[in-house]
Amino acid sequence: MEPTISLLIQAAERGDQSAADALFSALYSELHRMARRELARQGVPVSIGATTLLHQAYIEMAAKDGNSFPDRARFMGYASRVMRGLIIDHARNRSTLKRGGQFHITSSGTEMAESADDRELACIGEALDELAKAEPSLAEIVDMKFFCGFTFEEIGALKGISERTAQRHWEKARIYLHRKITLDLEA
Amino acid sequence: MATLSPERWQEISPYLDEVLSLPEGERAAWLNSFRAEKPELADLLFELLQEYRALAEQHFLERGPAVAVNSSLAGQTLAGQIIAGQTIGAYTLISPIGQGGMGSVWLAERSDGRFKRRVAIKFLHFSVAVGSAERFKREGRILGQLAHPHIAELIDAGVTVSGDPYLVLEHIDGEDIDKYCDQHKLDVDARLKLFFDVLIAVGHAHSNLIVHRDLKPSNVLVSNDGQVKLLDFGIAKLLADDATAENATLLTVEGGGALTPQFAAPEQVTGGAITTATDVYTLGVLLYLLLTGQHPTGTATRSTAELVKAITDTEPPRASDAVTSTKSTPEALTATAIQRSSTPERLSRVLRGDLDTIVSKALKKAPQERYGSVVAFADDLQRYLKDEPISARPDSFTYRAGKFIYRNKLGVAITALVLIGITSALTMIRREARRAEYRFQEVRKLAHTVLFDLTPQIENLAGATPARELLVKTSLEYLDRLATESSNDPGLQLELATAYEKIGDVQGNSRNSNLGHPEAAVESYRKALAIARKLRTSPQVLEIIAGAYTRIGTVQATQLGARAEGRENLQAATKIVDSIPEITGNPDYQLRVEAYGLLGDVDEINDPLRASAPIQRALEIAREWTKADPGPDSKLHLAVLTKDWADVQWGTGDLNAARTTLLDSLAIFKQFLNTDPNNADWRTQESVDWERMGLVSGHPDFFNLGDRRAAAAWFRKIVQGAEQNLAADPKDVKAQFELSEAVGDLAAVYRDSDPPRSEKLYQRSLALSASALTSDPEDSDILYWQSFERIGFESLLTRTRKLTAAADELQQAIAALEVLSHRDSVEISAHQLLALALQRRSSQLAQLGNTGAAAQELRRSEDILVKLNKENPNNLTILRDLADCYREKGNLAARRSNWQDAKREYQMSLELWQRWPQIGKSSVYDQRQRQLAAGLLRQAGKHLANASSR
Repeated sequence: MEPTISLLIQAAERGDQSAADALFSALYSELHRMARRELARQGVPVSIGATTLLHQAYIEMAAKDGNSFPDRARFMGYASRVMRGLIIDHARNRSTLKRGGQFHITSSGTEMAESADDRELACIGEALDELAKAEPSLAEIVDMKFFCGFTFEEIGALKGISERTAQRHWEKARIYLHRKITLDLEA
Repeated sequence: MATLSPERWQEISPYLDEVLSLPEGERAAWLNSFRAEKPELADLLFELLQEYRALAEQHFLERGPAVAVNSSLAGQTLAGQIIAGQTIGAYTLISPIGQGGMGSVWLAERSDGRFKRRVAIKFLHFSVAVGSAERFKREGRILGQLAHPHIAELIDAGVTVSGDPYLVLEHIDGEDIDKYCDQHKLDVDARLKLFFDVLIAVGHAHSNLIVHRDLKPSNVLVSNDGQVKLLDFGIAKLLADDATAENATLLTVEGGGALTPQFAAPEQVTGGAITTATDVYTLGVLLYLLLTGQHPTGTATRSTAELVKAITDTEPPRASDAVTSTKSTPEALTATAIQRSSTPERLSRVLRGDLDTIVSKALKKAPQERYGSVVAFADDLQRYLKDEPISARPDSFTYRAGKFIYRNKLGVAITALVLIGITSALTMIRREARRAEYRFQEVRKLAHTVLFDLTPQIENLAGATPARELLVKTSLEYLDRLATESSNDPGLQLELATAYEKIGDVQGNSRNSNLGHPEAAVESYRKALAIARKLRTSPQVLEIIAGAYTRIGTVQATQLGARAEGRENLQAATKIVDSIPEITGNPDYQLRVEAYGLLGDVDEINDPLRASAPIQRALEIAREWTKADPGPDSKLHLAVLTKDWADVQWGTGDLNAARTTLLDSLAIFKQFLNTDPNNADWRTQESVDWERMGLVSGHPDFFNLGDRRAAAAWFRKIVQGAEQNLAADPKDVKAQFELSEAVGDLAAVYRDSDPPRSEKLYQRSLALSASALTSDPEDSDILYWQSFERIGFESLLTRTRKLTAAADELQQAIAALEVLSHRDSVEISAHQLLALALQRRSSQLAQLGNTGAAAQELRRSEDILVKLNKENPNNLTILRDLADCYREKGNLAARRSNWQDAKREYQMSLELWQRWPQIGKSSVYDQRQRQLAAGLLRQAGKHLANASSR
């Protein structure tokens, strides 16, 4: 009797905010669970590409839900947003771990290669939420490219736009984010 | 550097697109020219481009976290930094209880050890909680007010040091209600008593304007001491902060997603309005489950789509039947009964009767048929428990007699919004209606009203069109299925046919071409026709058939550009309609008048000759009608048809007759308005007549009798009325447009006699239409008529030698007409007017000595008009315009002293004018034109003779 993802997507698209929240958390747990499962299956600490994970998630969820499951493009839009959440949360957890003295680290793993400062990442997340209000397609490109690692070609294919357009959206998004973050960090 | 507000960003974003798509080198130049256009934005753009250069150098966001999901990310639990012993507020965490969707839940106790009360702390992800921490805390505090013994208490809410919000909840040591009942083998009475408590709790929340929306067994716990506790209100939405208690009975929320499908109400899955009745439905499902151990939609696992269909379509079996049904195995049935301390037979007996009725009422598909509130539900349940008579009525025999659908349901279940609206509105108009009456235009208007006025939710939802499409699609699927499954039931088939017609109206109806699907509408109408044809002849059936043909024909003629087919279907309609009085004994005037009227409409403009017969017939019938039943309806139809007849006469050139007929029409209007002076419909139609009178009397750009003074008088009346309307509502686009037209008409009449006055009037007219266009830039009618007025204005300006202004007006008119011609290639008038405008431009060019370009414009004009004339040989306005085109060609040749060519062109022009009396009637108008044409020909002949004699 779990909420089905496709019904949640439908409701979210009709403007139901609480369904959108529920959708987000349902996808969050699903993706998280799938990531754990994949790694457990592999046995050794290894990495999975975020895009691979998302494609796999799509296949599985669509199979479960049947014909009414929305198409890949819509799904990726939501899923990459969730991915952003997972990554930012992870970064924040790690940074609080670094800060707090009384907490014990319950699991450690190989460090993720990253050059973005975690505070900046959190700022990026907030800035993206704002950008999503002003021009949602731009925020989606950032989620897909920056957080999930899709290429412009893949993004173009999924969203039905040219690579050139996807690139331009990326450029515009960067302008917006850069401005917002610089201001926020100054504050 | 200032922050970019969303509005600012949306303003600048498209320009950013533009400049970014240019190569680096060209950007500076672009910016410079842009600065001239929009200086305030240019500075911002420049800044942003600078920033972009800087951030590109820094490789901002180029190296990112999106590398891989590896074990560190996956290995962490959701609440990675949360561990046993941690202090959250006044509590210490003990152990995790579970993993909710939104975060994890931990068991905790007070740190000071004073009260050994245990709580549950629910953590929400930072990235999950939307909005700021402050808002979250506030919501928590508000929900904390919902104190009730049967609702799990929200004790506190807060935010951890690391920024994760959390909720502190009363910890319930208990089980899901259905499991509790089964484990303790509670009998029906005991279950009902527990359920009663649930109802009280939900009712309490409703009275505080909180709707749960996700009531399912796992959210209804029973503690070890037998107390019911509702959970997860913490995630329910607080509705309309300013909603008062009076509004509490109808809490509507747009959308309202179906979170748990098996407990979802039909309106939740179809995207309808969510009300307290939605919670009633969910509670009904819960009750059904507690009593029978089954789901109302059955226990088979299915895909979501099938489940949705089951929810919206399938009537659940009665509770008393479900516990003895052969669909389950005997073992399963016995097991269920044992959990209720009973046997299947005894259980069935207990459930039969009032309990069945109560459960069914809660589970009705249509929200308005359920208990209106949880309190009403609880009241009936209490009456049952006290052995008092309940208020719910059992379902009627016809419903239970095995039919899977009964009559009323047709109008209710199918996209209730659409059809209920139409049905009820129709019955409002015709109180005595027992047969399925239709008024085509009325129904179209109603369909439009229902969709866009009565259902603001659809309009306001982002993607309103998809929602509407979904409604139509769902209804069609439903109807299609019904059509095949109910072929034995003629009464039902009749209703089906009507329903198809209505759906077709919804599909085809729209002035906005984006929303109408004329082909789909025709398809629906054909379905209606196919069904109706198979039924035995009866008044209703005949009306449906006639109605279907009429609708198909009208859509084909007006929206699909298939005039010939449209005409055929409308002719078929008139044949059927002719047979109605004989077969049914009912004269059915209105139906017949409308059928013939619509048939006439098809050809009225482009082939008035052809339209005369049907319009005449319609007029005859209208006269009969008025004699038999002299009421407002018959009279209005008579007056309008008389005007239509005048239009036909006008179109065939019979100007004097047209004027007389118009006076007849006006007399009818006047007579009626004496008795009902404030009738807006009549007033509108009356001023249409006035305009016609003015045009026929003396508007130079139409077929007219040359009486400028009379024309001016008529137009002044309209201007007066239109000014009043506009004063009443200055923002009314329609009023602006009407006034602009009336003023333009007046301007045309004064062109020759009073040029300065005419100029002022034209300017006013154009200002008004421009203003109307700012509110409604896409309106083709306004654009068309504005262009028409511009061309008239050009004519004036040329005459008064204001040549630059003249050229400018013409330029704008031509630009607009090009747009209109492309927009709707079916519509003739835009092309025709464009051809005329090109002639005017050619004349201008010729004046400036540019005869080559002038010739080119005329060629283009000729091409358009020759084609139109071929396709519409009986359209005299096209004839006139083509004749004028040849005349202009002749003039151009004459300018070059090419008298041979001039003579030829003038000859062709004259021949066309000579054709006029053969097609239509002659009057001073065409006679004058013929004289002028003959005169030009003679002149050319003289010049030619002079030239050759030298």
